[in-house]
Amino acid sequence: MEVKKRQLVRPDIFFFPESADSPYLLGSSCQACKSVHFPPKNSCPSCFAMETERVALSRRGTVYSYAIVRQTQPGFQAPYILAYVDLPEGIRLLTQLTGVSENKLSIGMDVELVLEPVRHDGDDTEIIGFKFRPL
Amino acid sequence: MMVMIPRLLALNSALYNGRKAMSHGVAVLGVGMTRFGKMPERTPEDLGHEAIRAAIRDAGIDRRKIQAAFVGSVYLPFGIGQRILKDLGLTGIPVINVENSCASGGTAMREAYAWIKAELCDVALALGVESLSRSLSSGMIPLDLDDLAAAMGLVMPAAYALAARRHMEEYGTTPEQFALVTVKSRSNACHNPYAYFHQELSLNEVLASRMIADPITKYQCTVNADGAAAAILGSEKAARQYTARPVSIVASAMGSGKLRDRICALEDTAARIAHEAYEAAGIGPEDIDVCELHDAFSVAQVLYCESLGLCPKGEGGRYTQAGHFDINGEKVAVNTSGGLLSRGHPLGATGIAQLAELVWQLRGEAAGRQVDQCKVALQHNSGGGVFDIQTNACVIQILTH
Ligand SMILES: [Zn+2]
Repeated sequence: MEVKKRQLVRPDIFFFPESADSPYLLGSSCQACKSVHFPPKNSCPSCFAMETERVALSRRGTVYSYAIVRQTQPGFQAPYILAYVDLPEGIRLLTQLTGVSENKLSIGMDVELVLEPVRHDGDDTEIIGFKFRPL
Repeated sequence: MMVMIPRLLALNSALYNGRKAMSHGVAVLGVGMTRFGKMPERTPEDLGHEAIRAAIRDAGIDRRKIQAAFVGSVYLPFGIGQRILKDLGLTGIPVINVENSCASGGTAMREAYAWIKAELCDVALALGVESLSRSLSSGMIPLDLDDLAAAMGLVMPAAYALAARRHMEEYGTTPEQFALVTVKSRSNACHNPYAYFHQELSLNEVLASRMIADPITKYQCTVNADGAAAAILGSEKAARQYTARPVSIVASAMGSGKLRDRICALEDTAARIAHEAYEAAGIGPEDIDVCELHDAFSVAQVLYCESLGLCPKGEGGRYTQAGHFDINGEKVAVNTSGGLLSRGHPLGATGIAQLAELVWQLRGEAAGRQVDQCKVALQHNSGGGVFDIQTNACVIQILTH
């Protein structure tokens, strides 16, 4: 399959600093109650305030749990590793792990953010998502 | 978090208080269902008719006594309730169609309960119906890729595999213990004429079936099915008038999950709703004789037994292995019907099929799988799909005979 287009899984959840080569995930932080949410919200689910700002989330976290997916939806290529990753901001993300073999997986392992394809859309479009890899 | 319910009252006085408090008590007058399975040749109307006729026959009432109908399904087209009811002469009454993911049936039933409780009607029909053979092209329920978790590769078995892995790490639960849920489920289903599967499976067969999301193998996942289940609910007055063997709904609690992106706000939704149900009934988990819970995956049965307080937190796997959830085991008989794993899962119909099993158990009519001295039953019907919350809908009801 020849990939002609690359597309972000969601355009509003990434931050690419000009000075750095590593992207960040964006959360929202409530101006009123300071709650941080991911994916980012335009208003605060915790306190109902309308004002939130985008904040770059930590690029590092720890694995809370993981699962090896062997049967999946069209467009995805099994097997792959799903995981919950906990960030220091108190956020738990559903993500994929990459760069680690199945027998090296462990709960509590330290991981960092990378951008990688997660699936194909149609014949020629690659969807780029966020994954974490061992430090 | 384990549900800690003090045993407030002895069972008898609890039931007495329940009755006294329930001047508008609600009872199940009759239940009926089709066998669940792959029946692409049968229309939803056909399935619905069979279940409704069985429930009306079981209740022993004239169909014209039904004053409202609640119809749960997930994938059937709009107006499915009206479409099914018209050819049974059940027309002119309020018909309310309900979609609430895999808890559509439980929700429809709880709406019927609520209408009777509020004295909006005396007798109501709750129907759950689905034809996944007709509605879905592939085996896996498709998730909405606009949901970020689904877009990142989440599928339902993986959601439970993530929970299973954590449970194994924290409590030492083993893949064999999860697999034993299916062994028990198939064994129970052999005695349920309405179940999809009527063959036993050995532990080795369950473990050796295709891996779906470690440690969940194929036989530890429910199967898509077609079918319908119906219940006739009535007020206490209607119960006295029409039936000699009513089953009382002493508590009906419901809720949805809370946003779960922040670790500090995480909760066990089923435990919260179960707590409400136990409080409302004045009954504790130790009083439950039989339970039908939402085991779309083997792992779910282990987790929900803990959420519902049927065993201490972390002990679900060991209790399963010890046979405590078997029919006439040491503790509570769980999913005597075979549950979702072996009865099959026609999404919208499942909640009412659970109710039917519990009614049969409480009336002593569950031949071959009957629980001895069966007096108090718990139903747990759950539906997910919006991944940012733990569950779209959780319905928990307590029944007594
Ligand atoms: Zn806020």
